[in-house]
Amino acid sequence: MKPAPFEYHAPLSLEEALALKREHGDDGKPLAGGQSLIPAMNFRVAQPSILIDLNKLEELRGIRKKNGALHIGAMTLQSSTEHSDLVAQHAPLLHETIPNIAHPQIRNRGTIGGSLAHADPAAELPVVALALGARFRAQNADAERWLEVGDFFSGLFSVALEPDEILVEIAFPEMPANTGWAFMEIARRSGDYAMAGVAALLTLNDEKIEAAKLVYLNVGDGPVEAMQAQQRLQGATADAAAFAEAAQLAAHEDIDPYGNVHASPEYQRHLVSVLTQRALTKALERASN
Amino acid sequence: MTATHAISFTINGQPHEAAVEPRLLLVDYLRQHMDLTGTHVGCEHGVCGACTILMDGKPVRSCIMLAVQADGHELTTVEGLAEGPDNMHPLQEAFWEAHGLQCGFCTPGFLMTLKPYLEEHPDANEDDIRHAISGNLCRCTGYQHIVDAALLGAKKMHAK
Amino acid sequence: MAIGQSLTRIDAEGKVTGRTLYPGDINRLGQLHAKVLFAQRPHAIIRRLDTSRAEALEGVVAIFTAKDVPVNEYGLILPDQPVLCGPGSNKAHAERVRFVGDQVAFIVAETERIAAQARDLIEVDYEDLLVLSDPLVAREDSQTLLHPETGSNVLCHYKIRHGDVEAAFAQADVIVESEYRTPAQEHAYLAPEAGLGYVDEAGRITVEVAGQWAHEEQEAIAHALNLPAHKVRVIHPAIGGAFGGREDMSIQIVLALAAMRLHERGIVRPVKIVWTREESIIGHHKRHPYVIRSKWGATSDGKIIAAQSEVIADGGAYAYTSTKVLGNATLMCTGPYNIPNVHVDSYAVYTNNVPGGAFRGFGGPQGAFAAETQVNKLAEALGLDPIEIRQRNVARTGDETFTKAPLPGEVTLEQVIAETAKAAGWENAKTGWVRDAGKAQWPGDGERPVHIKRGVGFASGFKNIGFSFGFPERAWATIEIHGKAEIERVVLHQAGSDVGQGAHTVFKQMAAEAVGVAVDKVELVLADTSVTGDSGSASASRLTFMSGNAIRGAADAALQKWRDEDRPAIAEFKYVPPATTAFNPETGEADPNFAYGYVAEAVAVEVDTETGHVHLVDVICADDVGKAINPQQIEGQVEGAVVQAAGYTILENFIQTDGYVRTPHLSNYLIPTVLDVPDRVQSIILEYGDAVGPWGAKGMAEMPYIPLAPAVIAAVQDAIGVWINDFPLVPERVLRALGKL
Repeated sequence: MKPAPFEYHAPLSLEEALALKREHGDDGKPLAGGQSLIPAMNFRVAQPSILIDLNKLEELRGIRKKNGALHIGAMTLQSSTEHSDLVAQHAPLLHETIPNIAHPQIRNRGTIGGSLAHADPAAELPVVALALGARFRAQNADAERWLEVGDFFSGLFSVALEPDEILVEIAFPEMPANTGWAFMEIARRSGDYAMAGVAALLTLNDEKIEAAKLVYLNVGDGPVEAMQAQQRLQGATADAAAFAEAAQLAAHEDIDPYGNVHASPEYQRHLVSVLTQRALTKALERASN
Repeated sequence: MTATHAISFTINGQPHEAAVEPRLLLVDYLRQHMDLTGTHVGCEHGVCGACTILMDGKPVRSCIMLAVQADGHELTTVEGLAEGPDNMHPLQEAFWEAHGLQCGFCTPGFLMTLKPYLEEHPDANEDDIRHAISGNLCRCTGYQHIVDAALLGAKKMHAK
Repeated sequence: MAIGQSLTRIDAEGKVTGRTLYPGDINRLGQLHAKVLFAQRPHAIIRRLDTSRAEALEGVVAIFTAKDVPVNEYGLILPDQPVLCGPGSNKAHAERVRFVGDQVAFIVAETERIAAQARDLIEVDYEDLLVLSDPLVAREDSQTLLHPETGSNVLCHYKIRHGDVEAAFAQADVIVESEYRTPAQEHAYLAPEAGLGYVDEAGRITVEVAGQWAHEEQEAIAHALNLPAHKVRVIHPAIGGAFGGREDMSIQIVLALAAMRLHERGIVRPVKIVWTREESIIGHHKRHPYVIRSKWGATSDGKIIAAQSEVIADGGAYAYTSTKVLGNATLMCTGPYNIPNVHVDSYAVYTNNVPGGAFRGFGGPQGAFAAETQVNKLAEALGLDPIEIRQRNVARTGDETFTKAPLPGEVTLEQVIAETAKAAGWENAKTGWVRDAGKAQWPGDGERPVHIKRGVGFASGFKNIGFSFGFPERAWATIEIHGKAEIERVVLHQAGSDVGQGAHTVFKQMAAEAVGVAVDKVELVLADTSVTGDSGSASASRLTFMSGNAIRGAADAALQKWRDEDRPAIAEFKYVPPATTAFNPETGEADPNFAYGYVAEAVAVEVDTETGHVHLVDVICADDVGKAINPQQIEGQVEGAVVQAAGYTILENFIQTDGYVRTPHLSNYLIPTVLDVPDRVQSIILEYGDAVGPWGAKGMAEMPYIPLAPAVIAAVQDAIGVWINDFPLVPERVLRALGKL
């Protein structure tokens, strides 16, 4: 199969891109890295009538530290993020996550913003965004606004952007002090879509857990935060017993996985339990150092 | 029919201009309109790596790029690896000598993935190389000889 | 000496520079483009087929359906498959589609895009029939017959009756009984099917395509088009992998049909087709899934005295090579052992699944899985070492198998097992073979987290070289010797296909050796039925042996002519190996093969007992290849076979549900990447010499495949204490075996 016909624009400025988006609304599909969109178009699972290629917008690329957060332009390549010292230093969770995304060739085209706006429930970046409390800057032809992560992901492959908006920047706040982190996923082969994955954050106050974040991929319609597991950990002593209980809650109460050709829902729950304990153990190690 | 778009890019060091339909995939453009059939199609959705080419020196999957997206960039395909028709790139020599191929269909994709990697990482060890080629599928060799060829290639590339 | 040199591949330059043309890379002036309309449903009768809207589309040149095929049938063994399904042909029941990949129409247009659009405009009314997707159910169903004219869904039934198993079971000290299930497997050669059909300058209907047996394709086309063979020409350009998957027809006949029919209409334009990966996966055959129910008995001295098996193969919709694969599996399901009482019933059953056909190993991996696992279980039950039990039972030179024919030539399995075992840390101590895991150097140690368990497993195997059971076996070669006083150049005509395995390089070495010249003095004329004689297929690990002997014979004859001053000296030679015979229908007596390869493997695995993932860490494979013509290529074959077998055993999972393929892409059918393969594969190449093979060489391409699955299963059992009787070892299966799911 090959893509169905479409109209194509490659704007040279953000202004031009936003004008196109204003004109075409939902019919105007932004093309970022294309590493998810074009395969879908090759199989005609996606048939956008108009593509707005954002790849010439250098102004949407870049990583800077600002006001206690790492600001990443939406069109920043995943590979740039992977090799960025700023990211390694100020967003180590992101740094740990990126090499899990597919393969190097994919990361040479795939973008941070593209992956987030595509909102594939099996993708890695949405869970990191949710775990870190990322904020999303969207622009239309007139104005810009910031969305909180809780409002951004709105369902299966859906984000809360208006028809005339383009995602231009994402801010990843730095983790609080005494916070450990871990990202892990389990796939059949490395580089494949994971059967389950987790981003975990653990903020300690002496031996006690002040705050915990557990966010999972591929177990729901989008990134799934394990509310009950997090609650169980809050204020608890950081030990294997607490982690085991949190894992149980995450696997059996907080998620409702669909299963897929590679993993039954039962197996996904089992993986969530295993991943939760492994990730929390790792995060604890890092928090203690 | 949709309109064509004018694009200009460099291919294997040569400037090139064309007018292409937006939905034409880059791999199909190379294979069908430029007679550069060394880049192969194995899966049509970016998972096998047989279509790997270099864009601005970095490996990308040409089956999930549009030809129009080549505009303004420098492309290199396997046909552009050798310096001339009578000599080969040291990596190509290495694959030949170290038996790094059997049916050869996946080979151009491996070469294009390894060339920039080995240029940047002359001291890559076996484990590094395995990770670098983890996105390229081969069904014939079992990969061991490909890794050997890559190690030999690195030596040859940096001996020059 | 050209033999024994690791000569680099003669086709490498073209392949590394991208200049080599695979069928999809070939373009001919004025070419048209084709697409196939597949049935996309597993069992139905076509009640109405209307191509008129499609034909009216601008740019459509022709649409061919069943009525356009002169003799609408194909089959390597049995012609039970329509070339095109639909009404109006002379083939009984051709209006039935019996699996999702049945072809209904062949659309030819100016561009591929138009052909695809036209394909989607063809109207087909199907009356769905009951879908039989379980061979055990299909075997018993006499109402829903896939091939009504046969009266049964059982395509084939072999019986082995040797000795008295019931009496032997009564004598046995231990009995092991299990049901084994092996999965389908997709070949996943990187190059999907592609080719061109046209009329050549001599007026021959010509097809350029990747295949495994040019002359068989020529015959199949000639049969279907009702043409004499010499009016059909098949050319193999470079082939992007095969592994058995290109042994049956896919696009050859329909391309030839289009070329012929267009020519009749005055349209002399080539037709090109390129399949997508999905079309390739549903459109070509798979490795047969098997159910093998085994009951074996042994006495406490470690002698296996009885083996009983019921073997059921899922043959899918058409016969393909199911009868031969079944024959192999039947031979191998009791292993290369001297068992005095053997009782086997084996069946190949039609179902609405994708047909089963040739795939490296050809029934051997399935049979060996059951046989070797039974041996390993008997060892455990008897408290015997797995090497020791094998050496007490393995066949030796001159031994007969249950077929009542002695194994041909020297049987070196004992030595092959010994070499593998020693490399893996076994010792042949006074009390027998034994392994001290603590002292063994292999697989080496390393620290592992507590949830990762390591295990070691062993299996041996044998596999025929060449066609079996009386299937006509021969290979032609022609050698031309040119020169004046001295030999200046040698031309070898040889049709054997290089599907990646390096056959062409080895042919050149053998020709050089046989004539007595340097390798670079040899030129090759390759797979083109108009200029090369039939060498048989690139399958059954046979080309080195068969073509090698043909080359020797042709070289000897040409050299004789040369010496007689007949210059250029040209000689053609047909090599025919010792005859083989089919199974006696009541007893299974036969002389099934003229040569065997012997192999053994020791493997080390790691099992993550939390997630169920199995990782194959290290493999030692010893293979008696007779004589290594090209050692580097042999290593490449060993490594490639081990990785494919590892995929078969652990990672790959071909899923068909009610006849629909759920894994038609390389993103859901997962073949091993470099990170999924054993950290190391050590090949031990043994050269015990075959009396009949050229320079003592045998074949080996399938051998390393045969014992891998049972060796892994044994290693997993060693790691986690549980025998798993089916695979692939997807993580869930392992966790369920551990009782964790």
